[in-house]
Amino acid sequence: MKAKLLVSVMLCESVLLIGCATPPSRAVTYQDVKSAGVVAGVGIESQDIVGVTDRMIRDILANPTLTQRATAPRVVMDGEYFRNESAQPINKSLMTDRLRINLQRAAQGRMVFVSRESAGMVSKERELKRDGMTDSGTTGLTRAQAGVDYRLTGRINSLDTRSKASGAVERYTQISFELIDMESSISVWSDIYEFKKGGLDDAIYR
Amino acid sequence: MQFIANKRFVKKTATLSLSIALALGAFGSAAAAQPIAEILERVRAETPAGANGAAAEIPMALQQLATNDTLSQPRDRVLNQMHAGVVALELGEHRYAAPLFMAAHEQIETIYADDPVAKKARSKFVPDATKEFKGDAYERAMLGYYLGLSYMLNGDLENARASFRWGDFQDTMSASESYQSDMASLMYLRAWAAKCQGETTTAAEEFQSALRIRDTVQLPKDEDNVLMIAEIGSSPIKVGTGKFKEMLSFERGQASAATDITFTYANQKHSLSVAEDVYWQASTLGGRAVDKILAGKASFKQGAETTANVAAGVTQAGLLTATSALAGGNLDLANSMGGIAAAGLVINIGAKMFANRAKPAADIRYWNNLPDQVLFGSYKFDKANSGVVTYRDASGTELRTQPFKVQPTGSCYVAWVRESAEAPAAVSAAVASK
Repeated sequence: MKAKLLVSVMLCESVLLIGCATPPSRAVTYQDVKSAGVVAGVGIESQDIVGVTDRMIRDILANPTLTQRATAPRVVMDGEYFRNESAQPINKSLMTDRLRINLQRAAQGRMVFVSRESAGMVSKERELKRDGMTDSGTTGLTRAQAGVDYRLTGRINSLDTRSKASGAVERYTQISFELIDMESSISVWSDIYEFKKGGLDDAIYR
Repeated sequence: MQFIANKRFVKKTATLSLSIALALGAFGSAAAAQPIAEILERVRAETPAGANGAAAEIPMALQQLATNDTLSQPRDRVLNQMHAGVVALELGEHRYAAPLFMAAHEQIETIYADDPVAKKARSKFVPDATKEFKGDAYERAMLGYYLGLSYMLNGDLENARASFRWGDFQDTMSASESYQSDMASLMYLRAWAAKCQGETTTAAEEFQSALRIRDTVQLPKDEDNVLMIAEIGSSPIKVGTGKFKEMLSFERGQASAATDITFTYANQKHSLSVAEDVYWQASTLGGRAVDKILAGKASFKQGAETTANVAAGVTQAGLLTATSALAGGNLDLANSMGGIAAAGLVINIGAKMFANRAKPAADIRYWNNLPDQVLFGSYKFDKANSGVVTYRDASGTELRTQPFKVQPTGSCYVAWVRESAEAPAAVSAAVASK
């Protein structure tokens, strides 16, 4: 009887061990945003967002028209005119927010950033101040909200190709940025970031 | 209170998931897809409270699908997400639909290189359906269609266009060269989104491309700003054919009895034309790389069966000869024939074992709430935000009418109806029975 029980227990343990031997799970870990990570595709990933924004920041800061003026230029840097024309749905704010925030920190006052997406919110507060519903705060009143000198435009484009013979996929991604003079429509700065990724899915998916 | 209920729902499904994973020794690849329950809860938490201050509520049908998803294998998750996304659209819950489709999209976009589960599914002794579901070309293309539609309904035309482009690219997976990138519906929708974004030249070019693919598509007039989409019939069905069900083929799902579909808006009657035949897209898939793997598995099974049969014949013949030799007193012959029979028996048993263990059947899981056909029409918005679709059969007899709602999508509008929407299979299992 004891022997039967022992055999049963051993059998159960074997079954459990077989279960555990299947592909391992992995606890959540922090990963470097500049790394390719464990999950990869051919589209824009975190390392691309970091790479493209870092490069744009360096290039903008090196542009004397933008950073060496006696009066710091006012810039709008949001996704309003930054278009996604690629084949990858993406939240553009991932790029424009990182670009604006890191540029603002690095520029240290050499450029002034205007938040056009906050215009409605600011307008309501201005009304409250002027209607006497609130006092004027501590920074004083201005005649109007800030006008801007330059605004960010740009595009995300992509070109997908697939090898009929092997089933390999490639995506060429091109991300362009421009700062447009909001009086003359002259482009005062532009840069482009491009990369190409390719991969071959397992044959059972092709 | 609802929040607590939803918390309980997530906790319950998470606990259930853990229990089942432990019980079944379930495994996932390095890129495990997000459970539906988590996606729904994230959207619900981000949804602002209603006018009466009540927290947003996850629709019961979606909660049921999340529970079903928890009960099913992780390998079916993409299928479940896509199924739930369509149900969310049917329920008018676009905010839930987009992230569900996006989760499926992310998983399909992931390149499964050196993936242990994928490698395992290539084994002769493991069924093809063991792999994580990523769908066939027509299913991926239709994901692009629904993802784009849900972005549109959430007012994001840029990502809608990106999704339609992605769907169009998925269609290039078709191995039959003449049928690659031939989805008129996706080209039309790309054009429509461009039109709504004021890109008239691009829109005109892409509308013409749609027309070249399917010459019956009705192009919108310049002043049209409402896109009417009707989906009829049920999804194509995947079936395994061949001796071992190793070959994938398709059957048309239930076709609609309606042959004339019109809609009435602001007292004006408009027609709809077929923009996509989903069954045709599925059935023109052509050969796939995985078909060669399945053919190899089938050939192995066939070989093992043949070996087993030959060995059985040898065993039988050996036994007969040995018996007659024994009766004739030829002990040497009886002995050698007995040895041959024994060897045949061993080979027979071994080969039969291999034959039985070989699993060449094709993966026939399919997205079962796709339509059979998609129809488009367009008109100019005129204050009213609703209308009626009328379905008629070939004799002109009215089969049914169905109200539709016009929904703003940025600068344009979309009205989307499904013929089956009054009785959605919301709580049916996403995974089709084998």
